[in-house]
Amino acid sequence: MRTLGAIILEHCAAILVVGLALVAVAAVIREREAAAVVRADPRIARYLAIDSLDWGDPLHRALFRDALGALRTGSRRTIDSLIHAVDDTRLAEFADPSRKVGGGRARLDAGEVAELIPMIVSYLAVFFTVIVLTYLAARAFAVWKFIAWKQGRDSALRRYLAVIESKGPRGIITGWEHIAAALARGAFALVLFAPAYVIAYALRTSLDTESLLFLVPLAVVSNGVLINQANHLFTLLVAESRKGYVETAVVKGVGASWAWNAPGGLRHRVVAFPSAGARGHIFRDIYRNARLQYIPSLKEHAAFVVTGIVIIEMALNINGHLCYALLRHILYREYDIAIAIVFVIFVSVKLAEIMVDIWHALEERRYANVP
Amino acid sequence: MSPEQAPRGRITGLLSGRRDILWGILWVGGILLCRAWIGLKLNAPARAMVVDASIHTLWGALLAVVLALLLGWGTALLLHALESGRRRTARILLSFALNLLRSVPQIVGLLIGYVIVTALTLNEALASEASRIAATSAVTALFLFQEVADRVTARIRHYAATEFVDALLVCGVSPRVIVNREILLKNSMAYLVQKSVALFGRAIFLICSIDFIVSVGLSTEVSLANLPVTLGSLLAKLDSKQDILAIGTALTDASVIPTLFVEHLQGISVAFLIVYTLLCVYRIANGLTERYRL
Amino acid sequence: MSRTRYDIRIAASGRVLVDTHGFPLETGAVTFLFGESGIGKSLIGKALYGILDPAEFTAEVNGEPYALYRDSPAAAAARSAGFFVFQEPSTHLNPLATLGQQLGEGTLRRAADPLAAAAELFPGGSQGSLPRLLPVYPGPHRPSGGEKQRLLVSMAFTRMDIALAAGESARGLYVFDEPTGSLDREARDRFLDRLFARFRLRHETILLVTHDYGMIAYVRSRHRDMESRFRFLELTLSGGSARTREFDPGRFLSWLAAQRHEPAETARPPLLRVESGISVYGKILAFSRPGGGRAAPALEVHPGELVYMKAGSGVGKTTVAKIVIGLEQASRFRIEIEGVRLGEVSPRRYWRRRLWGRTMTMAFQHADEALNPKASVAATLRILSRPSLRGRDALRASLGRLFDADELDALIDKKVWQLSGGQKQRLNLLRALALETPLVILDEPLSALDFESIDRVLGLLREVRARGRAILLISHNEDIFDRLVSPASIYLLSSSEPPAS
Repeated sequence: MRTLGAIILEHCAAILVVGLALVAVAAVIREREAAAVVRADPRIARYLAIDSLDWGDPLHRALFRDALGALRTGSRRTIDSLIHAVDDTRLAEFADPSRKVGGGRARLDAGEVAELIPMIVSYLAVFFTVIVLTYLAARAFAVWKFIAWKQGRDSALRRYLAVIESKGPRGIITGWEHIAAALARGAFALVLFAPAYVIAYALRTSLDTESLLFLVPLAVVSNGVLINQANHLFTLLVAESRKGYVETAVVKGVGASWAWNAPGGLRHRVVAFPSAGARGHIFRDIYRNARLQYIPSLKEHAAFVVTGIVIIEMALNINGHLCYALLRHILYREYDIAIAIVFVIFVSVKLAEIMVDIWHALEERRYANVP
Repeated sequence: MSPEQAPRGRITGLLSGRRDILWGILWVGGILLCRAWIGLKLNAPARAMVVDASIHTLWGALLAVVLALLLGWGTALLLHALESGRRRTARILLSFALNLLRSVPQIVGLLIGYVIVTALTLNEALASEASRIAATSAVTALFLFQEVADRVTARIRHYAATEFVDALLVCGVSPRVIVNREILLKNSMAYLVQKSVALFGRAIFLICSIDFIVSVGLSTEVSLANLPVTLGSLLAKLDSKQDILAIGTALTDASVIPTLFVEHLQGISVAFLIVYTLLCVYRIANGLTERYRL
Repeated sequence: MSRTRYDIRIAASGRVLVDTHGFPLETGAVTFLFGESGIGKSLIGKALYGILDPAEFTAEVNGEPYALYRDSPAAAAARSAGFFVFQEPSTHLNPLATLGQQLGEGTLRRAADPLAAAAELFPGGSQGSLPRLLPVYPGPHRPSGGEKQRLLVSMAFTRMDIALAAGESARGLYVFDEPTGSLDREARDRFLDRLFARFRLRHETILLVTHDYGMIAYVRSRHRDMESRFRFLELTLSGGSARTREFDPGRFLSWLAAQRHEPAETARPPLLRVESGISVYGKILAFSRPGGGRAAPALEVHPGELVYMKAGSGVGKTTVAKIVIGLEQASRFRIEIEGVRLGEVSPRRYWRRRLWGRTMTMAFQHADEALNPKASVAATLRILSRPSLRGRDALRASLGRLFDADELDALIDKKVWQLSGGQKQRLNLLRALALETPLVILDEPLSALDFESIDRVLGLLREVRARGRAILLISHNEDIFDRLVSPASIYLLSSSEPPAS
């Protein structure tokens, strides 16, 4: 087991390495762009760079032609060919599908950074809110599912099939409540699995899909984020419940009933507060052991939450949000800003990982033996 | 104590321990149902697009999973070899690089990968459609293989902690045979199959999402390159989006519901295929976990 | 005392695991249940106690559904007034609670002093090693297997003390499933003493599941007065179902008395020589002779000799074996194998290339872990790549040394996970012996075996010795091996702190 210091060092080293790599990539791209511009006719580049000259205005064009004629000695044909070359270049630029409407290429300067900062802050706020909400919701989900499993209830679909088998074709009608429950569960499951854009587009006319109040719950629920986390914790709970110390605790008379509100059983508040709500019951030990193994996996889940948020913001074209800005900058080939945003996202994931590692180390320290 | 199981009929009894097969059947059934319905109600060009897109998506995901399996297995073996060979620096460097890759959110990594694939396509480096599918699948596999590597490493560690490995070593069996044949091939296939199924669902999700993002991108006709059509890019087309908007109106105006399955079929069927496949794959993976006590 | 006979049938996922008729359990008596592992003794114990998991097993007791038996007032009363000590101590302690907390949990809180029973089982009592263990969170290495087992057993004793102090009317059912597997002889004897001391005061119903036949000798010598309340049963597999029959302790005792040791020739140079004073894990391990503790400079194993290495549990017998076989790295050791000197600077490669499978091999303690559960019995031997094991007849001949002919036919193509514990252990031993190496190390070869198999294995070891091969043996079964091995071939291993430098 590595020390906490070593782990944090590795995270910081990763940030450093990635930062340097991205800076190098940005530099290389900038080189190639500059080279590309230079490869174009250097004369034209000079004339195109004149800010006060508006090539679309006939007056400016005429003035330019005259000025060129006065300053340079050369035949009319040379000047014409020069102006043709400029026109060709401009036409090619207009026809370039990645050309931005309204304004030139953005660069990573102070103004751009000032625009990015509020987006970064709101992104970080959304990110950490979603992580916390997902953790709490997944925990509740997993605990509830585990207790239901222990209670041995058959799924609605199976109950329906059992009714049909025992009562024959008549059972199709009399068992309607089971099939209704099964379909309701199915609909709920579809929502949990649906990629965010499907849900968002479905609700676009009814709700404001660009508000944070919609985004955060959407990020928690869709994209399979909630389902995967809940399932992982559920699997750990199941594995722990099969271990030997649970048997011994049962023999010792620790509460072992899985019925709700039974003597030696659990009360509903355990779903919200699994550890505190299960005092004197074997579930407390099962849960705490499972949770200790679950915490490191939150790092993976954090990365997946980011994936979800990125998908939502990009797919819904939400202006003023960081990930959508990323997509725009990539498609407009403003790579240095795009690289900066990617770095910010990477650092946010690393921050989450560092916090999870610290939490895990603290938890393990509670149960460490003093040698 | 949990109550006894309810008495079971024949079919429910047969399927009771085999939820993976149940959901496999439900998936195939749902797909066939959808295919039959769009055969009846959807116009031919749209139908052809949906079928093509589904096939591309499934093949792309399958290829990604296979590549992830190979890469993951190889990586785990390499890490194990470095560890037993006591090559500390090499192992630390490799772990560092892998952890770094792990921290890249999958969709961001895929986006960067797709940008690179696009650049290669434009430079004629990836000429055929097959090579483009292979390239995009390889990029997807790059962000999935670590889960396979983790599972393989966990299995090797599980057996190394017991007397299993030692007992075979002292019988003169070579360490490579012990790890590859005895531990992995003979005792871990169920784990790897279950992981592959789960990753298949993840791959479909990622491929559809990245295609959707890239196709939607801006409101103009910008596309990164001529990548093969998948369900994600199909969903991003204007007419599909209109169809999904109709679901929203159906929530408030119930009279729209019948038309959903007739007029707005392109978008609905694509959305259904994506979501239903993800749901079934997830349940199949869970069924496998339950059945083999993984 | 009243005797009830139980017809017990347990199945899981369609496979019948236990199907036995007329299992007798007498209230107020101690029932010793012998038999090889893995044929259902634990399941029978769990079924009678009432803690079979209905989600995993479907069971019937006396023809009725299990729930009926479990919830009957008699069974429920015996359960709440009793205790169950499970088989593998390593997984039966919660890693997130201190040992002190776990000793006083649940009903054990009612005891006047929950730690008193534990103190009886640890040397030094409440001033000795026990207090240091109480604030410990159990992990894989601390406390040791023997300590864990003693702590779990002490929980049962605490429960008995509660019943005694409160004068409870209901007689509890106490099931001890292999409670002495990790204990050395001294600890085992102390456990039995403390158990019977309580039993004399209050006649609970006790079911003691074990395969340590040596207990019979101890019980006969020290607790003869309670023999009227002792019952001996053996569970054997015959044709796929388990049969319960009375076991005559005299049979074992007379067999034991008939064992003679055959001294080995020590004229030839030793095949293996391990020098005393091995430095590992911050301790120094040294050899001495039994009966007097005379220090021995080295442990020597000659061809045709069986050397028995004894020690208290946790001292490091398995560690020494692993150092000799090259799996464990000590900071200082000197051994000599077939004349070649090896020490802590020798490369691991040497063992792998020259020794493993050729000059020496080892059969490990836990057959469950050491064998590949998914391989077939035939494949388990075929992996050795020995030309002498090619072909079905050769395999059958090899397996026939420890398996009956009809047993053999049934098993040869079965997967290892389908075998019983005793069958696995026999296969484990055969795999090591089939390599025909000059030196074989055996770690607890008699664990998990029933009486008949023990006899066969010992016979096989005699054959192996007669062919001039050398055996280094580690075992808790001191009752058997002290008689079987001549004192010249017995070594005691002890550990001490290194001198402060």
